[in-house]
Amino acid sequence: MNCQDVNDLLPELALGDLRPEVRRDVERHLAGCEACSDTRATVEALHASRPDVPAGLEARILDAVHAELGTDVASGAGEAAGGVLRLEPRRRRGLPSWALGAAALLALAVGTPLMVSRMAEAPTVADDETLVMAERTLTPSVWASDDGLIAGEPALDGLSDEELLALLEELEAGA
Amino acid sequence: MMPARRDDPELDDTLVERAQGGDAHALDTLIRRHYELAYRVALGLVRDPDLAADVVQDAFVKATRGLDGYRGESSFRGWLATIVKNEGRSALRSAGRRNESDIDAVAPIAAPGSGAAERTILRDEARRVRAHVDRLPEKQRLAVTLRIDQGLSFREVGEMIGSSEGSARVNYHHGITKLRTWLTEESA
Repeated sequence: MNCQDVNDLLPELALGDLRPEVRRDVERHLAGCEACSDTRATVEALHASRPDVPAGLEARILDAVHAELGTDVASGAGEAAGGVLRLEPRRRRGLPSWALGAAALLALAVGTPLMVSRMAEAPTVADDETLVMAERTLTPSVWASDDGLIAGEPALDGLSDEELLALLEELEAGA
Repeated sequence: MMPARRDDPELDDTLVERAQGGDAHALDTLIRRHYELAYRVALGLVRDPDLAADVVQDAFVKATRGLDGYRGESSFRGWLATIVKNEGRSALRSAGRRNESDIDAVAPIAAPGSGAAERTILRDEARRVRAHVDRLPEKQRLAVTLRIDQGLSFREVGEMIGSSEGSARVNYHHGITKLRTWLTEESA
């Protein structure tokens, strides 16, 4: 095995991808060749400083592509990926962020007086569901953030898409 | 641990055909198979992680728009790499090229050892040698990083940088030799 052969194989040596008998030959050459040994050190250092792929990049690309297509990301995330699978938590799916923001603002504008009026009409002991809904709706510190999502205390942000839509329908029907 | 190899052109062609027919799952699978490689190509070009992420995202959007135009004359990975490189160069033109890296004098790289002290030294030197990579000419930089960071063969590196296998090998070895030379000069 000459210097050219050994240098070609140094990345695989760094990766641990060489068959034992090939690795033995490479190591034997390196033990007696200062130039190749220096090159090995360079390759090892490069390998040790290999930059990571940013976490969440896969999801970001998929979101951008599907936003372009107007479709949703297919299931099976990561099934074909062999490297980084550190996906960042995805935002709630089902409604675009602008719709959630608009829905929340509408709910605040219409829902608060409606809920107050309903609570006034409610029996002395309201059922649990009514109380939970009122508590969620009337919780302060709800603000529309720049991207249309809700910031601050949980309040409406804690509702699922289905709950939010149901609330809106109910509010619109009652308004 | 290195990512799994994604060099299966026949599978790619099948996925492309299905994606061209409107199969969103096939499109997602193509993206998942190749986004890491696309990122490393972009990073090798623009040398900035945030900009590389923007580049690779834009490249995939453009590749999706142009997927119907892909006829399989080259491999899908090669076709995608061309789009990534075009996007990367466009991004560099927009951002203005960065100046050459300002690299402090560094100590020579030691042979890897097994002890904790040797590992610490190697980590420090690893950061230093990585900084030198940015000084390499584009093809040498890509050949070195794709060979070592992504574990591509010389044939695959050639496919990514638009050259032959032999040219990829030459670019790689020239790049490694320059890195060694710069490190030696710094230690003198």
